Amino acid sequence: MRRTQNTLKKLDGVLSNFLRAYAVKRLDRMTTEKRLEKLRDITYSNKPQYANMDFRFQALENWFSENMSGIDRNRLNAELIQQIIDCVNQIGILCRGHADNKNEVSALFDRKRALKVANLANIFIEDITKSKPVSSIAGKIKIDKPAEQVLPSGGVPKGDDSKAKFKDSLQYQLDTLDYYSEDKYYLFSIVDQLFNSLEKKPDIKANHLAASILYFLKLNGYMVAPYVEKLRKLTRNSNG
Amino acid sequence: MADKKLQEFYTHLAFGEFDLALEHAEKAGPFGDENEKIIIQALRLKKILQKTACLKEA
Repeated sequence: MRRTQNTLKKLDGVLSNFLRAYAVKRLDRMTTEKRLEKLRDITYSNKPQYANMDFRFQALENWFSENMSGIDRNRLNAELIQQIIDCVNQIGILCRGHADNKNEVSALFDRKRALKVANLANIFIEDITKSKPVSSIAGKIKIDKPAEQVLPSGGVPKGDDSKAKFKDSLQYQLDTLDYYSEDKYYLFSIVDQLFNSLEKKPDIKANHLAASILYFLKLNGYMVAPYVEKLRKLTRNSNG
Repeated sequence: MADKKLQEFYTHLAFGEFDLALEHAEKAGPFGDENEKIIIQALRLKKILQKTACLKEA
């Protein structure tokens, strides 16, 4: 009788230990999931607080600073790692300012902060995927100078897709302004950079951006005539 | 169970409050997750073990 009783008590003890250990593990996992939910929220949400890209990047920077070492790697299964990879890929898109999401209010942001977030995301993803097999690894986030477009002979291309090309050119303008976002670059110095580039090779987008900046400056009362003349000359050279 | 209730359930368990956890789960259910269903069964088994041990003692 006593032996049966002891066995029952032993069994109860084993069950108690198992239940306690499982609960602790499950609570840890829930904490990790909550943190990742926050990351997804910052990365994807259209909340007004993130409409300004600088605020979004600030929140991402804070998230990585808080969670870089805080997340228990053992609690990350393939599904959670994949979620992080998806977020990092999206952050890469945000950093490059090519947000395809139509709800994205603005792609303008502080380039230095974006770079910092990209670096933090790269370090984080490298660390968590070190010893885990995952289906798709996020590529390293890079923020490159936007690609230019060679001017074809005969001038600006015509066709049904001119609206798309114009939109693409406007995106290039935003990206280029981000690229030259440091204080040392004034609008005139960006035009100088564009002229240097145009002297080396014709480029529709650079040409369009230079003209756009000069027109803006003209509307604001700046003397732009010598610059306009130079742009005309560069355009003539490229056309003929 | 909603996330908050699930968290309460596991917090009871982690602190060894098994009766409270079972009570909480029975009130807050149903349990969609298979793992939670197994844990509830384990809690019920635990209750039966305790009762049986008490009967044997009596």
